[in-house]
Amino acid sequence: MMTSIGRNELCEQPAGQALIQLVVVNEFAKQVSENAIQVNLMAINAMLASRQAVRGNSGFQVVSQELRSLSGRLDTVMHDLEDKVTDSVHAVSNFIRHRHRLAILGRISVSRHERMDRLILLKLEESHCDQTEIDVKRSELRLVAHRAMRLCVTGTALAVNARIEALQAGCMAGKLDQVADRVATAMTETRHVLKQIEKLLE
Amino acid sequence: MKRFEYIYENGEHKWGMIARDPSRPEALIDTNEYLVQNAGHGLLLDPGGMEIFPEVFVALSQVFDPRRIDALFASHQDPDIISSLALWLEFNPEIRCHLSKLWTSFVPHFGGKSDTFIPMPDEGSTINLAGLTLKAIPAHYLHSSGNFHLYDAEARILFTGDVGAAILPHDEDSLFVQDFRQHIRHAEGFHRRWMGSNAAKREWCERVSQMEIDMLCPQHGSIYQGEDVARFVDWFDRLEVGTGITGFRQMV
Repeated sequence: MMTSIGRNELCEQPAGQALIQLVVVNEFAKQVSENAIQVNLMAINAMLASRQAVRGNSGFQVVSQELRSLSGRLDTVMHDLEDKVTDSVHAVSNFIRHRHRLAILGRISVSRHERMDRLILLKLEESHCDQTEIDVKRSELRLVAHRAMRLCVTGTALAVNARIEALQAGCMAGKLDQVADRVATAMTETRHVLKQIEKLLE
Repeated sequence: MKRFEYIYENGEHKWGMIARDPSRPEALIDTNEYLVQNAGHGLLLDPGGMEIFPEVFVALSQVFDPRRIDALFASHQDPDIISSLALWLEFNPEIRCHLSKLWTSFVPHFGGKSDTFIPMPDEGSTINLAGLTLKAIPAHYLHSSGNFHLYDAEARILFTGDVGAAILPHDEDSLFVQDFRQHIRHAEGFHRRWMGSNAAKREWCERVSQMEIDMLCPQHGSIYQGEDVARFVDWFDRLEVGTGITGFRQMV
């Protein structure tokens, strides 16, 4: 009886797919981190450029500082995401290992040993716990991705502000507008990547 | 958490080392895994045991997309070498494993089917990694009866599995050998006990001393580089192996 329970639970869950998904999330996270570094550099350049503007464009300087701080926070969130990916890899690996053991035990066709039956049940529970752990880690990943997305929305708004401030930068207006434009593009790309992460984790 | 470090880089041709996990359970021996990269493809050498799969996988993923790993190379059949096979296959069922023909019906106890393995004949073979030719060098009885090392003539790197291995204390576990005389004390007991044949050792030393090697990379401990490579081969040649049992007899 017990072994039949074991067998039913030995459905081919795509645990390998879960690992592949985590690899993809990790690759996306690397892209976002790279964008965050780029935005940081743009913000520094913008701060320097705005100092050269007529009487110094303090508005643009403030926006640049905000962008710099935001890119730092985005990078931190991405490190957090990487940590969560690590936790998830552990959870999925445990699940695969336990499922393998369960599959082997489940091959015992007729169990006459109460102890063996208990062991299979135990392994089954272990497998369920692993699944729950994977779900928990997944929702944690989703939360971090949401946090990153919120930062990006702010970043996009800051890029708009930067464009407005650039208009008042006199002879530097063209240069600052270019910077604002590049920041806006980077933020759009980052949001696009984060949307893909969110979609993967749905 | 293990860390990944490149030890050789020439364009798209790279060697990376995955090593040193201070948080690993004490019961587990520390291991080095190596990734050979060429033109975006990867070959993972001695991928490690099942228990450390997540650490290896995560460390590797930080710098290389693991979906680009075409194959594994197992120097021999030990659990710290290849018991993670089932997990790698779960991740990518297409991964193949280069292994001595002696072990292709033993290692499936860890995972894999007959078509998972590419059996290597006793005399050795070549492995093509996206145009890069790597040579599997026979190292039988050092320590396993079906044992291979891997030579990259272009990078002048020889991966030597358990040969050159050292069990290092935490405060002396640098990635490269710093002081040969200091280091080799931690390798001596291991080689005396684990290497079973003086004749096989002699033959290996003869073969290796004719190869151009800048780095000799073992699966445990630190990498020998530069003059330390010749120092090691010379030391190993003079070491009486298969004698670890003497100490064991004394204990009994």
